[in-house]
Amino acid sequence: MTPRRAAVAALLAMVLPGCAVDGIGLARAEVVRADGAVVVRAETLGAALRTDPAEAGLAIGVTRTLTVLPDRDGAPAPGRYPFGLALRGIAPAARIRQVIGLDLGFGGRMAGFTLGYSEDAVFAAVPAGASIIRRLELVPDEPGLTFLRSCEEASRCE
Amino acid sequence: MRVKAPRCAGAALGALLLAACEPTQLYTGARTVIGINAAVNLEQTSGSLVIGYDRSFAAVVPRSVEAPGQDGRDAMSALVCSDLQVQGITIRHYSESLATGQAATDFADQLRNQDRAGQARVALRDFFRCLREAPATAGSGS
Repeated sequence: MTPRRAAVAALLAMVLPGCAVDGIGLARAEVVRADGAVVVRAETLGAALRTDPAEAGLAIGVTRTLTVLPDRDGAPAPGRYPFGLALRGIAPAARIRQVIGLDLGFGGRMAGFTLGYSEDAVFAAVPAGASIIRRLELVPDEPGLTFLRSCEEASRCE
Repeated sequence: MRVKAPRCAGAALGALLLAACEPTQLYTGARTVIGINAAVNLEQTSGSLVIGYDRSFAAVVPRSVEAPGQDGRDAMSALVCSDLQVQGITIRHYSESLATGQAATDFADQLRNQDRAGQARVALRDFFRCLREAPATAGSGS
């Protein structure tokens, strides 16, 4: 085997064990119900492709994502999902993504890469004209302890 | 090689990069990098390079929003309390209370409302962790 073919084989061996697109594929996910929220923990070994325009990118290595979703109609049911879970179209309340390896990002307002370890967290992304009141308590290591309350008027937050 | 970047500089840079255009979202986020990170905004007017360790926490608030029923724009109303706890390089706990827009204005008004019972005002203060922990002052209604 030539060195070039060996390098390609090594790259494929690194990528093919896990390949996921938007959380679906050779990935695994777990959904935990919390207080007012549903917490999704997902893990991919290999390549993880993100196609959402706001966070498009490709991660090669180990990708761990923790997503907090409001507990309402359309939220995924608690349980384990051996082939991942699609969350596209569901607006998260918060998200934490850890990547060990290479992470290429070309979404939102910025493009770039990270080689090594990165942890990106988005806790709030509220449209400028929105009128909301929200309280979030997030415990990544204990997702069942997460707390989320969201209301449009102060009188409904009590 | 290990390069330490001041947290305030990292947060300011992150906010600056995010605000290269007029922000259309109230945004709070955090980023931790160990290794090599390079990024540039899509207009290619600014970028960053980190080699080593960097952690930043950023809160970006739009300068102005459309004011319904008014000509022009108005400053965005926002009330935010946040607390981030980390251990080593990972996030261990995050708490946040936020109110935006008309809800934020109404929330502040209700806190000052002298006609409401004390219990109701305590419930509103409890919803905002930082207000619950802050001592009550004259005129706050508590």
